[in-house]
Amino acid sequence: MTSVAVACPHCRSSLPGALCNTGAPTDCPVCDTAIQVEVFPAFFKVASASAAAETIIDEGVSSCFYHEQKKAVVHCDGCGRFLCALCNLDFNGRHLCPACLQSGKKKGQIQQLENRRTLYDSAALTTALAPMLFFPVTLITAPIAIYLAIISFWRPSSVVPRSRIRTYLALIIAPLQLVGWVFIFYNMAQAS
Amino acid sequence: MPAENISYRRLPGTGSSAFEQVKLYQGPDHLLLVASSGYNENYKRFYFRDIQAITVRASARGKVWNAIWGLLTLSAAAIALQVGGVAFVVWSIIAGIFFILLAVHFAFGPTCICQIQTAVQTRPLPSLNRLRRARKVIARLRPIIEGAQEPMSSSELSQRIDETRRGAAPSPVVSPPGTSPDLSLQPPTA
Repeated sequence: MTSVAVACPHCRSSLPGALCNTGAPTDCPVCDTAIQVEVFPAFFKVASASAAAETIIDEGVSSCFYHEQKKAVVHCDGCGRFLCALCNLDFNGRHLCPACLQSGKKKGQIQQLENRRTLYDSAALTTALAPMLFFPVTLITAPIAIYLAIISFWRPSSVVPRSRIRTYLALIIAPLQLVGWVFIFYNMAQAS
Repeated sequence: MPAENISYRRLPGTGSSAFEQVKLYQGPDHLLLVASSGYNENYKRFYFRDIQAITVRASARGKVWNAIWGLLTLSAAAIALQVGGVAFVVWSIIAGIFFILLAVHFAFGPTCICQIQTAVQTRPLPSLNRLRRARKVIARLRPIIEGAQEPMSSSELSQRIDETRRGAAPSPVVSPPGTSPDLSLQPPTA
């Protein structure tokens, strides 16, 4: 149970219940700052102890794949292996073994574990547009922009909704730059 | 194990700093804070079942910016009145631009600092930087968060808050059997 009182976000003085969950800003009785504090039942939630794995006493009881001496309580939803209470990782209603959780994170199959993504479409568009301020550089950057735009089709994009407009723009602008260079080289060859 | 596809809904507001743009999204069972630096996105998830509190406090940032835009508008207008010809038109346009910025800034309303608290962290929500917007989003999220947690009436919540304030130990709320054990850190126990 918690002994930490609900505090004013400005002066950290403890607040009475009447000033919380009002749905509108109220003034802190100590610092007079307009505050709104919404407290939810999780504030008072007590952490229940994690289950301990039981040791097998009787014959014929299924054992954990990772701990032979421990009783299996559930099977992994990823690989089907029997798991003891210690190895059972409850992840958003799914029971996973540590190996499946690790591989799911590595392969990007569990989106909730991803904390960072690279946006190849943004990189492709910037690589196509920014060097146009100094045109000669586009001879090098245009192929890079095309490469980034192509790989953006295979790499995961943002986890939030996002259109492919940046990729398509990069795939239009960068080839046009290359066509421009071909035209320039062709004219130079004709002139010489 | 097939890859998951979670649908997100954008919540109003965009926060920005020198190198990042921050947006807030509502997922099926969590809030997603997306900090984008152009080529990379960093994600922070706040599960509805873990959210302990959301706090909002008024900040002076809005007043400071209003003063800056107002001062710039007056200065440009004063210069425009002292010059003539083309310079008058140019300074009038500059004064007009500053006035539009002042009007837009004023129209968005007072600024605030919004924070979300779970058992293990307290994080600012930079996208909720306007009082009106923060209230609107909180009003929208409140029933969803309450629905994901143990039911508790507002009077009981208020009573428990007062109990903790007085230093008394409130009666605990224990996770029902069958739910996942919460391994998160808790505040110091009484």
